[in-house]
Amino acid sequence: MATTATFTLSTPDFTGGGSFSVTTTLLKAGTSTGIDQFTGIARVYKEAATADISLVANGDYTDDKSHRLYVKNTSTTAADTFVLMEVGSNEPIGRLFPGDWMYIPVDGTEDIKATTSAVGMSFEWGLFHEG
Amino acid sequence: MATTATISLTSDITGDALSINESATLTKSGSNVTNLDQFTGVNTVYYAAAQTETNIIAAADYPDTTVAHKVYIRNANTSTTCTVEVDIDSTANEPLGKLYYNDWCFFPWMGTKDIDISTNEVGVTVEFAVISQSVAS
Repeated sequence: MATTATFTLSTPDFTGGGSFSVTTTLLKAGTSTGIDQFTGIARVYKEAATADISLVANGDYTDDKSHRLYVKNTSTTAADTFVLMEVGSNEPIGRLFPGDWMYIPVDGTEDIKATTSAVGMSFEWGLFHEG
Repeated sequence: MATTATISLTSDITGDALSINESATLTKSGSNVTNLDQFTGVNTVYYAAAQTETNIIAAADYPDTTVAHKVYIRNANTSTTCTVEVDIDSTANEPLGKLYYNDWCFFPWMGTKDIDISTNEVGVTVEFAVISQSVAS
């Protein structure tokens, strides 16, 4: 099995208009063996602004393994609405505005939560993991 | 012209093969037309010794809260056993997780907490960049 993640950043307004791209194959921790578990991509829709929606719960996944979380704010709400992403004891990571996405490693010892800031917001998420 | 960040995810783990290709235009908080106006460039840092909670991005250097900063970090090593752990907050050190061989991450950042890294081997190379807004919205 193979799972790949490619990141491309295009910055035409900065530093000479550069663009770069990196690709990684998702491997199990410390090995050359591909990740073999995946939650699928879930779509969450919240009629009302909702705090602390759990995506990853502390203890659900093994610590010190290779887990990867993808989240995208799929809302078409106003530009000042956002999905606030937090880790651990509500430590803020950042705000995903409509159309924004994130891709991060996940530690099995911390919660990952999302809070929607307005009515009628939606997001997608999926976790590649080792169990 | 605008700065864009694109992710392409492909996987054959499930029977229904996954193929995601999503692009985001990086605009300021509260706007979908005004582009982020600062970029650090892609920094490459070599650490001769293993690091413990070493600050690579300082919150004090950026406006915070009503911002749409974005952070990119990559473990630029070729060893499968080399890890770069990414933490939020230099005091609490809440771990996001570990980047293994050639792994990268990209995430929004509120600018309220430092971003630190820890490494487990000598001779580790880390890449990082911040695309940010100069003034909070």
